[in-house]
Amino acid sequence: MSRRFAVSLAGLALVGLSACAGGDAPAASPAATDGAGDAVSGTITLYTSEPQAKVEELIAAFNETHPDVTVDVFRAGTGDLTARIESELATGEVQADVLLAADAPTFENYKDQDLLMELDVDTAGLLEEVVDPEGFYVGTRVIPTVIAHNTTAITTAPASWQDLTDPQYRDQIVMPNPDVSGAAAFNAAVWLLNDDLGEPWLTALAANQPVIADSNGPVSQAVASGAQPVGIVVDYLVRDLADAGSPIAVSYPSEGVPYVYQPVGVFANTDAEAAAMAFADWLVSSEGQQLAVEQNYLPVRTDVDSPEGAPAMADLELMEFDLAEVQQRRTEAVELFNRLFQ
Amino acid sequence: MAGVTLAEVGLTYPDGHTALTGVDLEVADGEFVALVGPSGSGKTTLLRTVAGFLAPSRGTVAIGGEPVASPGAGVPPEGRRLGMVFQQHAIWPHMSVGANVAYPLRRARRPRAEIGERVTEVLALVGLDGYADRNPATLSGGQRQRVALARALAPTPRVLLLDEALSALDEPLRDQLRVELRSLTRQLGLTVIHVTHDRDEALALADRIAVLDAGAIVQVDTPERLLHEPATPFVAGFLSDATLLPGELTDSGFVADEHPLRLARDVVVGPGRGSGTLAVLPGDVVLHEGAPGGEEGRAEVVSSLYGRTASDVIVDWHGLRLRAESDGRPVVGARVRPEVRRALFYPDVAGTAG
Amino acid sequence: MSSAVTVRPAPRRGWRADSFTGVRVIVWLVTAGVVLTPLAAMVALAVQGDQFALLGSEDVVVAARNSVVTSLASAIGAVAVGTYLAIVLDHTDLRGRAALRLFALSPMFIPPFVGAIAWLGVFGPTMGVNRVWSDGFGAPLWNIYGADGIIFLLTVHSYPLAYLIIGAALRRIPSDLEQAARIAGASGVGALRDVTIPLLRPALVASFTLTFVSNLADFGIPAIIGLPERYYTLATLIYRSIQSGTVAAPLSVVSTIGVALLAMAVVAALLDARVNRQHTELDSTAVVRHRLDLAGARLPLSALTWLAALAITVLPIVALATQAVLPAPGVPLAWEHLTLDNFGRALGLRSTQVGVRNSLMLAGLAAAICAVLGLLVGLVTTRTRARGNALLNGLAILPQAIPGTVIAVGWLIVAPTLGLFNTPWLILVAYVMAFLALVVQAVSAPLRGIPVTLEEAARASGATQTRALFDIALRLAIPAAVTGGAMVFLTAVRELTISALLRSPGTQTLGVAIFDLQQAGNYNASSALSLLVTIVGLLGIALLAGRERN
Repeated sequence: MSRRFAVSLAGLALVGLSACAGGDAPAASPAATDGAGDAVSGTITLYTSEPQAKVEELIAAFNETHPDVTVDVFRAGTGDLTARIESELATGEVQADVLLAADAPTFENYKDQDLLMELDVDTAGLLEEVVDPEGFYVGTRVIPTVIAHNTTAITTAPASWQDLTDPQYRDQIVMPNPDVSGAAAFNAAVWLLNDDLGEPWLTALAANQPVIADSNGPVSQAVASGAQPVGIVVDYLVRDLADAGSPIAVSYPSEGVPYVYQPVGVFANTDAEAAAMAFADWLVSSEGQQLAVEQNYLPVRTDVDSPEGAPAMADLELMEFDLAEVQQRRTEAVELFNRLFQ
Repeated sequence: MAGVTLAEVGLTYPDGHTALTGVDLEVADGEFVALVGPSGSGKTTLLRTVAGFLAPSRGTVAIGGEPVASPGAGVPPEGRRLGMVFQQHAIWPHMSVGANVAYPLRRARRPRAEIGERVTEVLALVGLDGYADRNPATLSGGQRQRVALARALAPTPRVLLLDEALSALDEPLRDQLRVELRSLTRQLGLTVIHVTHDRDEALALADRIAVLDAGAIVQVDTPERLLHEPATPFVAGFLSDATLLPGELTDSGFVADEHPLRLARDVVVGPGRGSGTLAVLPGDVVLHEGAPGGEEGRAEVVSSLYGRTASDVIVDWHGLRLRAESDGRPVVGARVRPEVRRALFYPDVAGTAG
Repeated sequence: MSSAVTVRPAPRRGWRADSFTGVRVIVWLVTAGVVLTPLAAMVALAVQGDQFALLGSEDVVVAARNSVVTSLASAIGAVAVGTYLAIVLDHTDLRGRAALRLFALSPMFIPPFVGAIAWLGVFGPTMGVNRVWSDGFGAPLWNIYGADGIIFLLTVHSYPLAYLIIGAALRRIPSDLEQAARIAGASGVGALRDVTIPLLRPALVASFTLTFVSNLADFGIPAIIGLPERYYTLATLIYRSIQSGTVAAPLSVVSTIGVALLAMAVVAALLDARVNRQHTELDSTAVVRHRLDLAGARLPLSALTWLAALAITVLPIVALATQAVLPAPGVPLAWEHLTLDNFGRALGLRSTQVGVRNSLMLAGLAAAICAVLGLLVGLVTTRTRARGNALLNGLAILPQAIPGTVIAVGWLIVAPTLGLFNTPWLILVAYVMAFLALVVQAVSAPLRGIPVTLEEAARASGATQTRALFDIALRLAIPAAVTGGAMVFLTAVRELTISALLRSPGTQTLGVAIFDLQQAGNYNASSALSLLVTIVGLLGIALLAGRERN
């Protein structure tokens, strides 16, 4: 960790001196490889779109390293989170210290509004694509959107995005609502900008009348239960359900997959900077990434293996896009989507 | 109009409670019969059995010679062509007076013009000309009961059933309606069955009275005969407030059990001899004031209520509460000597004694 | 003891009288503050925001139409079912009426959104009945998603209330009215049609209005059953606008929609008042209740009613239980797959634990505050004479006619000004406003029934007016206030509509926690929690049944 961090920690330690002197067991951070026993403490509020169970595991694991940091979680869809942040800004200041949510454009937007604080995390060993060059946010897991299918209902899985426009999948597809899911909105923009897919593909997909579920969770459920045997959904949910025993499997389309990397950022007005930075840093650390893989996510570190059943990061075909353009045309893409899929 | 015949009617509720047992009653065409009895005696049950709200478990009910109820088969109330007036008038508050009266006629599918005529006619009959458009809520209690009567009479029912029809009214009004009811029903020659707990009302209105006790008819007779020749001690007690006491009748007279009362044979009306119950009607007792005589003849006045014709007096006579009528108004606590001038004797019937 | 106790100086008495004026002023201020502040703020913002053009926008028009259609249809359905039940349960010789009544009332003990989750397990496109039906006939029997499903669920969850209102009214109709019709030549059904049902009209209208307004506000059912098909009602549109930032100025937009909802509720209330003005006075009577003899229809009607009541009670529980014990969706129901992990996982979630804690705390505080405030409002309005008592009573009861969504929107608007934003107290004040009427109504009747002579006797014994009020009327009404408070607790602890809109980090209620699991697609966990909530609710019925037996 950086020197600046240590300095601010020292200030914090002064304030929290009496608490520390109280004889709290300091040895509760066995995995701490840096910071040399400096116990970070404080309370941070985390806004996240991570599933409830996963975020709770995550905080529990984080607290093994940093037992004195209390993390209060507000979990909601990305759309709900941005709406909340907006209304908080309108009436005062953002209540959150840390935002861990779906896509980079949201963070770009906040960066432009000077709402974010420059991060102080160790980015060595991270995939290049997930690190903001200006250092205001960093991706924490790679979340590609893929095609899931119910293994009882479908024998040959659709292998490409184009396959989904085949009339045999009419009324058979389910996908998330970009109004609610940040990842879905992001995907809409990526598809729209993709030369091979673009508006013609979206129009053809709409002709198959997919069911629009609220978010990725219900999509995966619908596929697993067979309500719609094919779904456009983030890959980790499929692995979660398959692990639990659902008849569901994933295929990574040949044209490549749109992906988000769940960035983490710290709000500039935080009053618990040290704790917030410690949390962000831990997320991309080896331990944090190990947990991410255990939770069925693809890691952002090259030195951590993909979860079982997922392609290695090197073999994964990622859909290329220009972040600035995606951000710019996102609203347009969502509007187009709403018009086509109404 | 039609007569009503009940034969061997019995009614047992599902919970096992027996409400009627072996009731035989013949109400002649045009006759006014009152049903009286203490509460729980079955008089209301009997009326509702005739109405069709209750089905007899045994026996048959016939109206105008046509059987309407027997175990397992029965004509529902709406098929019996009866009229009924309830204690609480049961005027439908959401219909006008006219609509209330017209309702049974509409159910009988009479022509519209006839209905209008008949409504006017029966409202006039009960003294409510021009009330057809009124809201029942604007009527007095007596007027509502007249509407109820008009509604019951409108379809010219075979039998008119009155279920405590006058009981909810206040005293002067009740007397007035009583007079009107008697003259109206006699004038129309209606067959009427009238349930009441008011003995005077029954005596005043009815051609015959049926006295019920414990689900059975004890006596059916004219008012005069019921008053002077009650068939059982119960009837004497219930209708005339007779004082009852056990004792033994011999050729020489009556000897009360565990009481000083002795009566000569000639003042005791009744057959036979042996042990039985003596009934002393209040009118047959004379109270002699400040009377001499032995200790055994003395009694003390414990209650004295003044009345129009005589005071209603109760004396304590060696533990026996004897009811008497007296011309004056004896003072409570006064010493008197009762004299029984006439008494009715009912020998114990095998099986009912003790 | 000392003579000072018995000799009371005159000035002191004057001060005491003033103290009651103080109570009156405080009760007025608190009640008016709690009820009027959010409504005024909402109307003001709507006027100021000048978003009325928005009311003509397609989204709002469609949602408004959907709201009216679902609320109207379900209110009619609820009144129809309620009337049927009142007649067959309280008025005929149907078999097993006492037990049947408990089964028929069971949906009342299950929160509507839990009911939605449960019925989704029965009639979801690939769930329960539809799975079996599809296997046999190739297509699902009935897909619960969409308008018909919302109407069905709203009906199921509002008919018990309609039944209770109509049944109570039916029991007040003297049975000789119907017997008079029978004697006059009407059949049993004819007497029902001509006499009983017309006399029930005020109760029918009252139950219609009540269920219409509460269904208009219901959030859980249209959210769970409507949103997946993008079928919006005003309640879910408001939620979407606030929670997902789909509109630019969410607060002024939702306040405009809120005013529209309020207008609908006012129309319903006016209709109710209009009908009740022409109500008819019924005499009480001592006539024994007479039950309609169903004769030949008895067996088939009994069987049919029992079947429906059992289906409504048992099917959703079976569906919930099935989902709760399966590890993941799509896993066939077989012995070796059954697991209790979902319970452990759902209960182990911090969001669940926080939700339970918040719900208990908020419901408990709301119950206590409503009990005290409601008792005082009742005391002031029934036991003292002052101009404005009727107004105070009306003010306290008003929120009952206001959709919960509107209450939430109002508070959301004033929250930043009052410093309540992002605190649980925001939900608390909204609960107090929404449920105060429950206590006021519970205490008013017993308070009115206390003879004035009891207080006069206290005055004659030397108590001041205030003292007499507190020692006699207030004491006597405490049991009713406790009952009212318990009703507030039971209503608030399972509430979703208000807390979903007013949630903020760390203030989610149990309802919101379950709703979130459902929205996130974790049906197995949400079913496990729903099942627990349902079982607790059904224990409530058992308790009720036990109390009735005593």
